[in-house]
Amino acid sequence: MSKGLRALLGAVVLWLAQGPFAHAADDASAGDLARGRALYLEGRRADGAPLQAWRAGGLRLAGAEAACVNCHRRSGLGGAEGRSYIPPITANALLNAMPPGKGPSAIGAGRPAYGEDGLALALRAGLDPGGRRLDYLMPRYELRDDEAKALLAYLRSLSEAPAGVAEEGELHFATVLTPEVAPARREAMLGVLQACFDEHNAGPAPERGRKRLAEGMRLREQQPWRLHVWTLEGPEEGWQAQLVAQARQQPVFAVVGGAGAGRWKPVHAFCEQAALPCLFPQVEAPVADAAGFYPLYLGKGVLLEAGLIAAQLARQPPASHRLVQVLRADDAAATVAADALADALGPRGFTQERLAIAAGTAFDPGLLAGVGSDDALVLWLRPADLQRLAAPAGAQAFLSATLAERDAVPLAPAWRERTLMAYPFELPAQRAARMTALHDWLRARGQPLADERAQADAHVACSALRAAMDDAAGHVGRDYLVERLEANLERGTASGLYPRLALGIGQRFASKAGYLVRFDAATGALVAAGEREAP
Amino acid sequence: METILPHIRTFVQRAAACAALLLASALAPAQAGEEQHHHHHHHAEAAPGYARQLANLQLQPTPVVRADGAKALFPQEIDDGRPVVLNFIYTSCTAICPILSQSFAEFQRRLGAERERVHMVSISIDPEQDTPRRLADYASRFEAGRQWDFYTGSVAASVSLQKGFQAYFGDKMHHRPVTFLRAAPGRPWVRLDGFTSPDELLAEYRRLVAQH
Repeated sequence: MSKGLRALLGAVVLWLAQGPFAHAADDASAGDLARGRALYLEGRRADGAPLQAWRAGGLRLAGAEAACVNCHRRSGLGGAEGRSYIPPITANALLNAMPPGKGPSAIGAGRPAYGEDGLALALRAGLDPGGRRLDYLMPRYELRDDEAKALLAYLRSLSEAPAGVAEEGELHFATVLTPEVAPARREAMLGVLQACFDEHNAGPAPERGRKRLAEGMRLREQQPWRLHVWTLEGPEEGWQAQLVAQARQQPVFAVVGGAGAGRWKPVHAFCEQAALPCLFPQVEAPVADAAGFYPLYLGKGVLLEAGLIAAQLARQPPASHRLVQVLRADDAAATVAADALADALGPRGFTQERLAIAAGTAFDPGLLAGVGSDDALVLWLRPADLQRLAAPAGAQAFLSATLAERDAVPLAPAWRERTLMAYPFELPAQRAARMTALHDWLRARGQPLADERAQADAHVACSALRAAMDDAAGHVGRDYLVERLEANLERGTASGLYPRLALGIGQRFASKAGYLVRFDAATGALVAAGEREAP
Repeated sequence: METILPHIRTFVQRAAACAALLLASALAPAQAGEEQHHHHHHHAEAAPGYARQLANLQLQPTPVVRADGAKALFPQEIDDGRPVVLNFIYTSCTAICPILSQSFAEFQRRLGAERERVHMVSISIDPEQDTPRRLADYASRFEAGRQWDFYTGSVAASVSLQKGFQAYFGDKMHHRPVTFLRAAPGRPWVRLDGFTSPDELLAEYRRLVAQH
């Protein structure tokens, strides 16, 4: 059936649908929304063909690279890159006049509101409703009228207020703790988060370059924040359902901080499915999810450590080309780590062996009897097991700083000369000033220094949230919050334990580099064994 | 009966009209390309212009890593005698870098076999994210030939190179479009601030090598 005939039939159905058959009209707008979404997010037209566009200079774009989301972002609020300003294009923004404002972009002088038909003209001919040319960066599109209509339907959906978030009153946040987190760590982390929230609620926020984006867009005064603690119970299989129930009972704007150990997948999955920003929990094994948008992590934990060790083994393989990994069978983080290292070294032709300590049994150092003197040995072990190490084994041994839980590793001196620790943090000496500042902050708020790592991470998570919410200049939106963090986290100076925190579009791990450290023979102090590396 | 009759009458009238229309359209010739948009012009938009200046730059010895994983050293890496065309990018960039890299790609395409005589260079300004593998993926997106190298390394190395080219803008979100050309080692660099179309880049390159 030709397209023309199909379109005609569609029109006829709509026409017939007036009167007692009105629901067909709603189907049309639901269809518009879906078609608009495909255009906006994927650059895909209704028949599956790629959207076609042209750039200045005669460059062509098609499909995903032509999609609006690339520059105007998921929120539709745009952003900036260099001196290029990317304006907001939610229906709210387009269908209202833009007042004159500062900036080098075309709309610096303001523009009248787009009418419903103005969008098609803008996209095809590059002219705004004032007849002014759109910015150099903006492509021209091949677009039918019905496609422009579908796009506008989608842009209207971007203007809707976030679900479950009140315009007035408190803004609700949650923090998530898995049952594997020790009570002391839990209390230390929560104390910092609550103190940070109290700080936000106590201080008046100065007007920080607040801009009115468009007359019709509503901006909010600073709202007080309330923190809810969601503690998970029981086995991992039930966690996602518990989180769904919690969110239904107490809708929140975002999730901040929190703690887990080796099991975090259900929380990550919840955040993504609920479309809730989940900012910077302290976890030993974060989830690497190329398609994820909402969960953000500080460091890569054991995933980074596996990468650092793999890189070192690639540079200096053991003479025997044999790798032995030791871990507790029921230690989820250690298992993730060992799997990651095995994957990384797979193509390098190492023989690999894994020695597992049975759950509930003490680590018997005799387990290492079979480790050859030319082998590489990776000990994914925690302090209780590390301190039971006896005679050194293997040519080169590796430890995990994450699993070792603190810098003071209970490693017998005999092991020091042959052991390197994968270290996802900044070196102790280099982060001393930031840690001193943290200690001062804790003391001023009556918090004991109970767990430096958990407290530093919680402090960074909350600081990043506050900075991003400030950046958002009163616009409360979940996608926009993530986008502000992507763009601006790098500029913050509070990086806590990490040398540097930075995100970018599509980046979800703020710290991507670490060190291998060795232990000073005499004192056991940590010394860098090479350059900082992003494996 | 009284209330429903008008609806039924309307429905029947409309259904009849429908049937007539259907019949008519079935008989009408199929329409090809019935996009209803106005004709739009695919001519090249006027670029906002770029600024050109000469620069005598001294680069510090800087260790880098190529997209193929090999370690290398600047400035030796770009001092093999070939003319150099160079820019700064990062792989998660969505507004500026795709244009810069697409211009490079189109420039490469138009040079044809002559491309082997040029060394095209793209340096990452987000090196901790831009691992060699990510750079290799980015390079293949733009069909980079073997004469177009991509470099990453430590943050210190990337910053050092950006500063060496006087093109350091702080964090990556503040970066600006800038392209550098040099005819041969020891010659001054030509610095182009702003976006250059492939035509303009090619013209600058030809001018550069003609003078040398």
